[in-house]
Amino acid sequence: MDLLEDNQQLSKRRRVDGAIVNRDFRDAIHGSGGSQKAYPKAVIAETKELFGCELDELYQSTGGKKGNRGTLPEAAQKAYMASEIRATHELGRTEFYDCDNPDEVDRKIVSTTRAAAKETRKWLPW
Amino acid sequence: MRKNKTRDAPMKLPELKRRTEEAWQDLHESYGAIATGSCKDEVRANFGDLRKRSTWVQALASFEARFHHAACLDAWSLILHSFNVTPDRWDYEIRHEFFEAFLQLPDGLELLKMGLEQLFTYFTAEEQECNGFLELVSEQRERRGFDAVGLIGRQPAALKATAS
Repeated sequence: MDLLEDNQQLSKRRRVDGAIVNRDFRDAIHGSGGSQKAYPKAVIAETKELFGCELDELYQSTGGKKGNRGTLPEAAQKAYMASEIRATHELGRTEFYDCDNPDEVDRKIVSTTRAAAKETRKWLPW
Repeated sequence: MRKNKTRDAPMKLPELKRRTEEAWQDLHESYGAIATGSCKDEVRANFGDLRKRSTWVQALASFEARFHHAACLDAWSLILHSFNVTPDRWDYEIRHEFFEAFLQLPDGLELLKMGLEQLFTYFTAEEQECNGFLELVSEQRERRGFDAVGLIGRQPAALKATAS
């Protein structure tokens, strides 16, 4: 894609933060046909790949307040952003037509998210 | 994107048992734990007679509630996803048991309130669509005879007004 020739991309103008990145990630999951469990499963998978622990452990060990990612250390928030940007693009490129049932769609969404997080982890200092 | 149809009939017992088994597995995977017993053992020990449908409904609701709690990176996702239940979702028919099981968790209510605050503070009006959640909470008042959650009417409206 040539960004400068894509009017749809050029027309979007506002400061991009973690919430917008996450919105696009959720939209990509929804657009792929994921069930109501696809997003929470994807969150669990990306957290394990990025930080090597469970979500509760991440909040507890970093002194954050569960339910508010803004209370996580900046480095952790950036890791989620990078991973979710990557996963959003990968989901957009993944074909879901060959999936016969909703469980299979969810599995593919989770495995795509996990792979994106795994690649992102390679860039991270921990 | 796939379009889901409204489900015509309640889950039959075999589907209910299969969903419970899957929810039990999802829950254990979310904790990164290997289950020591079987799903049936856990259902029998904590929820009672395996021959009763209500036992499986309560078990499924509990496993689902704990799973969505374990995956709660952002509290608003409880409002927009977990409890934004619509008739096309398979968990629609257990929505009240699911919601009540979540409220039983130590910080369940606090997370729901936090989620509403986040939703009406940081999201655009278009992104705030959570009619399924609001209907569920409204039905809860009918079901329980009082606004046990403290979220109905006043707070969402007030938050919406504040955010606009």
